[in-house]
Amino acid sequence: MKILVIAHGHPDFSVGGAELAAYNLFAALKAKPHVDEAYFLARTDMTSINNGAITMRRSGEYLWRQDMSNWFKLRANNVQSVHTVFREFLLAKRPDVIFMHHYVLMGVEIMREIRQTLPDCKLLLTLHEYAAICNRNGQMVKNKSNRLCYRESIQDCHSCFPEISPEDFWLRRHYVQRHFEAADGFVSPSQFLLERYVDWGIPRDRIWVIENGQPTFDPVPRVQSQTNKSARVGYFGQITEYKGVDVLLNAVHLMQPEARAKLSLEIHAAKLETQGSWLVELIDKLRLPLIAEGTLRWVGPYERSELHRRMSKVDWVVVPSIWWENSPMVIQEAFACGRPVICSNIGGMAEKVRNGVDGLHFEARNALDLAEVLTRVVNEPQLADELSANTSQPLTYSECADAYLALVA
Amino acid sequence: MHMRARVRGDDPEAASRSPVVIRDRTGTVSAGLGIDHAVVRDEILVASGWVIGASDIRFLDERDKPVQLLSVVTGYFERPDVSAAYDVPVGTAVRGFLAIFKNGQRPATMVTGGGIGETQASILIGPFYQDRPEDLRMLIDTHIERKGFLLQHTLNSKMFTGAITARLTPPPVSYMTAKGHLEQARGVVGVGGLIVGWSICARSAAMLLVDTLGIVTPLSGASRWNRADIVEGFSNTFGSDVQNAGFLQGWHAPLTIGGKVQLVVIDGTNAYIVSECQWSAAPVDPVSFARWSFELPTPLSGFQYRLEHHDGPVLQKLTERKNKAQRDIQSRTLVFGAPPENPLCSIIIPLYGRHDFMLNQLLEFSDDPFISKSCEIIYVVDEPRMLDAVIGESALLAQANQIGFKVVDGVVNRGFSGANNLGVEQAQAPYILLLNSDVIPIEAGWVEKMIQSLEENPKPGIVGARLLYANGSLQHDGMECWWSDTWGAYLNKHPASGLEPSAPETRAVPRMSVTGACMLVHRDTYAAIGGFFDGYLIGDFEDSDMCFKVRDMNLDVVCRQDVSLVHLERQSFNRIGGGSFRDLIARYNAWLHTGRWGHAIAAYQNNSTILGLT
Repeated sequence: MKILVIAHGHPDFSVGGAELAAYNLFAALKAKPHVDEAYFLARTDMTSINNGAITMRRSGEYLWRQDMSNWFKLRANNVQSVHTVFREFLLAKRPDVIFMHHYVLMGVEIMREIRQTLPDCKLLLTLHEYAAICNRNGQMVKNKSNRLCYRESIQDCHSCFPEISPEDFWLRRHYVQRHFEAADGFVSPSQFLLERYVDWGIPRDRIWVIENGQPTFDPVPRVQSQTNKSARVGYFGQITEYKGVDVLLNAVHLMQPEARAKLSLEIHAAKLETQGSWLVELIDKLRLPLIAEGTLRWVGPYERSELHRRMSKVDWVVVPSIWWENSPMVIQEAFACGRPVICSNIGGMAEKVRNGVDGLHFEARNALDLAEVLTRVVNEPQLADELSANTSQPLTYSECADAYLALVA
Repeated sequence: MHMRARVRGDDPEAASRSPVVIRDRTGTVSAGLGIDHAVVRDEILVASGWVIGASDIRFLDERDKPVQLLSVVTGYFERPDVSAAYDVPVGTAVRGFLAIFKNGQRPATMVTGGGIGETQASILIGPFYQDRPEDLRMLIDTHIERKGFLLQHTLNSKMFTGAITARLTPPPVSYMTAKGHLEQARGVVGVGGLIVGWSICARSAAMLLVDTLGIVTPLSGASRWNRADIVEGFSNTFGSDVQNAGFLQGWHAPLTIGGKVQLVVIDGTNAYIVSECQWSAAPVDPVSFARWSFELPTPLSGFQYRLEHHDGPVLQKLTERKNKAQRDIQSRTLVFGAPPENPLCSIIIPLYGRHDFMLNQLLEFSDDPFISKSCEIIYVVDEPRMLDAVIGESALLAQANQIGFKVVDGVVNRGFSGANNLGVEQAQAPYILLLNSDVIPIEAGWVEKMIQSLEENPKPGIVGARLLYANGSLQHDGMECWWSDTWGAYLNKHPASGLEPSAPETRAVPRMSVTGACMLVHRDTYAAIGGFFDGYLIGDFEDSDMCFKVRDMNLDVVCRQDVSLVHLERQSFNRIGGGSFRDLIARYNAWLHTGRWGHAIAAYQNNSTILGLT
């Protein structure tokens, strides 16, 4: 069996959860006995590659210079290349199966191209967020008000974007859905995301949940605290307006001083400076007093190889996102390290973390509620151990690959 | 005592143009007749002269039957020159006359009144009929004091009117019967135009517009509106006559750009030029013309009258002219991919405003085996500036969807009807499906169903389809007309629009008319009716117009309810009473549509009530 994995980025250049999931699927598939050949085609924006061209990254791995010019209709920028260069690539490799991760940055047209050029090839699309459903960066969060959005409709979408007519939203949905019809099936890393796509129009019998795989490694023993802090809580990931770091910092401010004195919060985060200045100013205003009093340690960015060591030094991992999330990688990573997770009680987070079993929920966007949860964890230091014992090892890359192969068997 | 001294034509003296004077035994003049001028121009005869002794005069034809006068100066006027020349005794009246006839009723003789005790005289008029160019001028010079009278009764004659107005002057400063000003006269040579200004006139006088050729348009039929500036400026002098001073008047006669047009008042025997201006060029494009003229703020309640008498005929002619010129412009057809060789149906889709609907349409077409194998898809680019974008996109879309289609470059904007007609000219298939670019199919098989309905019908005319709004509610299930008292015209309505679609009938349902957004017609039928009528402005009513043309051929109009497509139109309602440009255009179109089909609509509605269809 020849398998092609397509992704919207190569982790050599873009270390996002979806890119890693795609690449590790490819790597795991290569090792499977039934797989004769596996290829990885990743979209890139490297200007050293001519627009529309496909070049080799290393044997079996290819980069395709492509972009998306129309984010509204999720249309490829270089449509010509889809029907020429990409088609030739398909005909050269002639995969029996294509696992495609995400559609953004590449455009939805490639699915119909695959269907037309390789009619017998099985095509599965793995979904990573809600871009097909939601024009607000695929977040399903209301534009301007930032309220959570529960379901798209052309009228509601028009309310978010008054400059775009409901009729245009109808065209968008039909354009994307028609292209989705070219896929044989869909994979969602969470039940939550699956339900959203089913609501939107994907038939339930054509979509399945497969968790993103995680690397296997030796258990990480918890390094005991050398201070008088009774709970160490760590945040790992990027900081964007959707990640809820401001909610987290606010919650710490809202704790009673005596409880706060027992808390140590670590933020391991990259990219703050690349965010909008309003967010940088807000975070600065919130974090500086906490750093000064010793509650907050701003640790800064990390390499993936450093993650497990860093996680070994915290008791809890916190995921305070204000949007739904899908299947945040950091939750799998925390569980891989045996760390319980404090998270918002919505979407993919609420699904992956069982409240009171392997983590604690707080009401999304509610700093006061999070303050209470944090107060509880500093007052009940044994809770971290209790919940840690309930965490289970996530799916490995290899198990994940088996699940994918089972769908096309 | 009657003394007739008649002189007949066979008498040598008859050929002379001498007056006839009758003296009594003492040699004193008792009666007489003289003719100074008898000028015939166009269809008007004006005779002037004098009469001695009699109280009135009569004009008789060859058989001594009275000839109908158009008018004669009443009361006559004094002629001291005649009294002196013939030594007429004091007490015997000597009066001049000015009489006007239709030329077809030339009098042969003139006879003095036959009162008791009056001496009757008669004279042959024939010899006085003259045809020298200077006679007209001399006649007017003689009667310059009676120019108002003369003008009043010679308005049908360009030569008289032109010559008289050439002699008119502005009124004296003290003149207070009429005032006015011509602000614009804009027209198109060979078509007509509009004259705009204001005027105030006491009821005793009349105003009219005259050009240098002597063409006259009375101002009594002008469309008027109230002008606050005129009310403020002149109500002290003119009282309530200052109301509705603003006017516009259509000019449907020849004109020349730069030529003069004058506002003239006729006030009894007087006449003056109140104002004048020059013709300037109006937009030749009908919509641009309307954009200018519809700005003139006549009351909406009189808009229908105004269309009837002023702008309407001009707009109609401009539209005809434009369409005729456009039909001669060569188009060009480009082929993308490989369209079917012998198509059964040609789908004509005009592109105007935006072309990105092609993305969605072609996606759907390519997934419909009947369309991709048996239909010829023809996009007509009706907006030149989008041509490059359409062509660039077409190459990609043909590839992406593996479907062949044609793109017709219409070179100019031809409007809905023109673009469709152009597309049909290029069509090869026996069936024509007219489709709007914002109508998107949502399931395959719809074209076959529509064709089936046409083939099954013994009187196959037009087949329409059910259309839905993007939110799934009904947009179109056939059209009806309703009469608007406000507009004085029939308007189209879409019954049940905006509601949940009813359970569809699986057969074709008879309808008065169906929307042009999606209609199927046989090409022979389309050719027989000459396609869409292209007289509407911007686009409106073409579809119901076409349905009535088809009905005129005794063919059926039906709608397929089990064929649903999505029409990405915003739900609208008929705004009655609005005065925006689009509303006025709609009123124009409604006026035109009702003029063409009002009788047919009334007959249909009558019939269907009897049959219980409504």
